[in-house]
Amino acid sequence: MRQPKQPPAISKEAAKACDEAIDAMLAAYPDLHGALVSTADGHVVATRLPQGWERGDVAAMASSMTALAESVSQRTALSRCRNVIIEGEGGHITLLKVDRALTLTAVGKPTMNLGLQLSACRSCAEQICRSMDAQADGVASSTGSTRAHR
Amino acid sequence: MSAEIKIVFTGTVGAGKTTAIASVSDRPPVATDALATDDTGALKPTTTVALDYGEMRLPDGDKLRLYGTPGQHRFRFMWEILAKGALGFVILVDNTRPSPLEDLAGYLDNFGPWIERSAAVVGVTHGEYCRGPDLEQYHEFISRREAAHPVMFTDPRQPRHVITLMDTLLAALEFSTASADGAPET
Amino acid sequence: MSTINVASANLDPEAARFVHSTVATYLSGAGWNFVSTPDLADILLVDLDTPAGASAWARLDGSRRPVRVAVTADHGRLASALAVGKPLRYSTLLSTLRRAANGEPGAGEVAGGASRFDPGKHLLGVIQGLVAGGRSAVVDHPDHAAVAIDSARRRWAVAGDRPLTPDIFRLPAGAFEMQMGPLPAALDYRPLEELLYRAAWHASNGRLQAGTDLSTPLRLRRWPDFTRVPYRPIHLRMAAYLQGRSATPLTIAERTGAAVSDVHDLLNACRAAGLITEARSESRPPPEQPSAASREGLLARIRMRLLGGAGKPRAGGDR
Repeated sequence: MRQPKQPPAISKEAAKACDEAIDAMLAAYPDLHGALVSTADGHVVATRLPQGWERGDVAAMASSMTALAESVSQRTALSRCRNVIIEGEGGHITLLKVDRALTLTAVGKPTMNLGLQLSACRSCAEQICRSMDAQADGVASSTGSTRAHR
Repeated sequence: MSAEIKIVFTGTVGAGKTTAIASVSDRPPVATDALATDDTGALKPTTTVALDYGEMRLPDGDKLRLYGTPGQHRFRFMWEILAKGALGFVILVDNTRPSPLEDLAGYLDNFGPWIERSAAVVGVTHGEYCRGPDLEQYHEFISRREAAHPVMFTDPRQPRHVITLMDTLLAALEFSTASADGAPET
Repeated sequence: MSTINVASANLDPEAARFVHSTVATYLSGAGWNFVSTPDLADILLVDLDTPAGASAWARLDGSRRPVRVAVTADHGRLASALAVGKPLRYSTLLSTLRRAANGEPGAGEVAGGASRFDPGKHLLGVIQGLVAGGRSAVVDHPDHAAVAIDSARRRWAVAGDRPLTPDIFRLPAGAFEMQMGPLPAALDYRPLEELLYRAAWHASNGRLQAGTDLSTPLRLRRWPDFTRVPYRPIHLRMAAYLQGRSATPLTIAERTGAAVSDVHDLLNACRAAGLITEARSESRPPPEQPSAASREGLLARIRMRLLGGAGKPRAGGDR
């Protein structure tokens, strides 16, 4: 599948890690329509969405939703927002922060259990973080520099 | 229940929408900023990804709500959400961008259906650097589009500038529903 | 020039003030006065719609002085005798008063009102003279800021350490000296339009500009930059009214509720800045909107909140 153009702040290796993580998640959970990783400011990093879904729009909307949710969460003394859940007639959409810069969006079919979907997304996010940490450690050890900020 | 009373601030990235709302809001505005990972990052470290929200209390207890839109085209779905029911629009244009008039055309087009039912004023920011079109050029450009929106240089950090823009918008609203008609002109 | 005294009887206070200001602004130069005592009046405006006014009208019947002018909301009465309809409008009031005086000039002429605004008598005229001649100079006054005028690039700047204050614009033109030649470098230049606007605005003092015809419709070519020039809130409404329309000064006043002095200040300043053009005819007035009243109320509340106090001049440079 063609890689989307990478925004400058996300490395190709990081994008590849995201690809692999969401591939693994979708393989393990066939009741998910698809998933997408995007930057906090709405750019696509990696995507496995069904044909015809506007991934650019989904990335931008995910950015808006998580930003608004974070704002609501902070103002209602819930502290940081962990994820956003949209319950549609055709299933759930879950948006989960991978880290400060990335958001994971997953779209579930009606048959997908919400708890399972959230659990799958957390695992996927953790896999992405581990891969990126490993990449950063690998770069650090080969160049002798400190870990680069993602 | 009274209808929402709102004015929408829109315009190019970095033009000063968030700043303008912050300079007149009665309370610290809600901002939904995220780290900028593209060219925007060269202008400023963060960018609005959903909306800015400020408010001004009116004498009878109502609130005038001030909404700022994201500037990038990929957030155009927010433009439609925020534009609905707006009293009018303040379009801020950064005069140091490569093509400010084209930028303005984009926003006039994007919000055209709503502007036709209300009014818009244009605030040209960063004009003090004397680059970019002057007011005559903005006026001619808008006139060629068969419109007549007021255009002024604006420093969004200055509350009196932002208030002047909003005051101008109110004046334009007062007479905008009845356009000039019929009488021959020279 | 004989004196003509005008008084009113039984008009409500606002209408009486309207008559007074009309006479003072447009007719006092021709020897007309507004007097508070009806007994001294040559022309008496009487509100026919009140019982007291109707009685006063009847008592005047058969009198040769004063000449009666009926003020009434019953427009059926307007065709007969001398009458002017409510609400009072400058144009109809002026024409009726002149008819009452028998042979005064028609409403379209400038009948010699109060003193006129003559740009040539102020700093504005000095600047306009430089621009017309394509010359650049530093215009100096011993007690005020020096102003550099760059006609070629249509820009200006304060030259020297003294700040520019509004009273400089009211000084007589002859008080200024000009230093021709290359302008000082590295000044903070601004568009000349701003200075022309400010110079006219401060010197205008609410007066009609000499040589202008009240019956000529005008059109606003472009909005002034109100973030950089002074204005009063009513000026925004006038500018909005003139956006895409042409109107005479009296129509502008009537449609926006502005005092004629405010109309003159705005038009004089816009004229000096090159923002006004003459039109062949007036636009038809805008039709009334069904929701106009409720929206006007909302806009008024927002305006009150923005201004934090009605009618104060706003800064765009100075007050």
